[in-house]
Amino acid sequence: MSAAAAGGMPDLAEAADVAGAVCLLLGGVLSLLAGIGMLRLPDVLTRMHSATKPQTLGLLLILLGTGLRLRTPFAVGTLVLVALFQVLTAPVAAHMVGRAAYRAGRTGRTHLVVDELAAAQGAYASGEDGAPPGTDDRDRPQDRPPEP
Amino acid sequence: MDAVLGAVLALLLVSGALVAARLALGPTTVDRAVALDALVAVMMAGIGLHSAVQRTPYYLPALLVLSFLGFTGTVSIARFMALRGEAGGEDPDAAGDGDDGGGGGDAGGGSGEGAGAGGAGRPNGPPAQGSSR
Repeated sequence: MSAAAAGGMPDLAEAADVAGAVCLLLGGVLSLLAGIGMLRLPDVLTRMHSATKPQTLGLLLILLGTGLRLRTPFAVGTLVLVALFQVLTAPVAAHMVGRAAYRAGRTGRTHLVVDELAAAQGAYASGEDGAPPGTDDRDRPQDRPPEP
Repeated sequence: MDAVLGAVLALLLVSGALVAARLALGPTTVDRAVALDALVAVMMAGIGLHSAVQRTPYYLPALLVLSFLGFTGTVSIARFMALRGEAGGEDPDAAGDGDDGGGGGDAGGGSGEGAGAGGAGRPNGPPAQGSSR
């Protein structure tokens, strides 16, 4: 995809335009796949799997295509900043949403093959790793005092 | 070239419509939070596409702002649901009761609106210790 940008041919601008259009098209296809998945997948975790496609790879491809078409230092710098921030924050947001969904029991248990978190919580609650039983409530986010 | 960019616009519009449908349908608040995050991402892709078509860099700070806004919104929704102990339609007291939160979620899944999200027909409580106690 970025091989055209590193070509060094005289028609470098046109090659960058074509590569940018290809990147934009791939990003659009990924966004469409995410939309279909959001509508058709059965529960929260699978929808999160689908929702991360435009968030990371689709958006990165769109930003790469935009950068290949704009080709100014200001634009490329801003786009790199956006891509960096998106890549940094998407796992954090997905982690928090998935944690909230699991705590609320909205994770679609029928589709879950292995549930390591429940086993770990069971071991922790029964005191197998040194903690007395019943102290696992402290890890509950809803039991923490609200932040100021 | 213009046809390709028009096709990308059509793809993004269809994707945004599908994600907005999930945002409207989504049985629980978690579904809506996920759909909202995806919708913000699709909007960012649309702004990027507009900048690429027009070859103007003036909308790129809006991309940065939307990125911050999407992250903040999703994290605040998740924190709010975790603090309230509810994820749409449940009794907050049942869900907020320590490790019986799974049991509360089970009751909520069987009681109605969350049943379509794969929550129906799971008589065993979500965490293992929920059914053992």
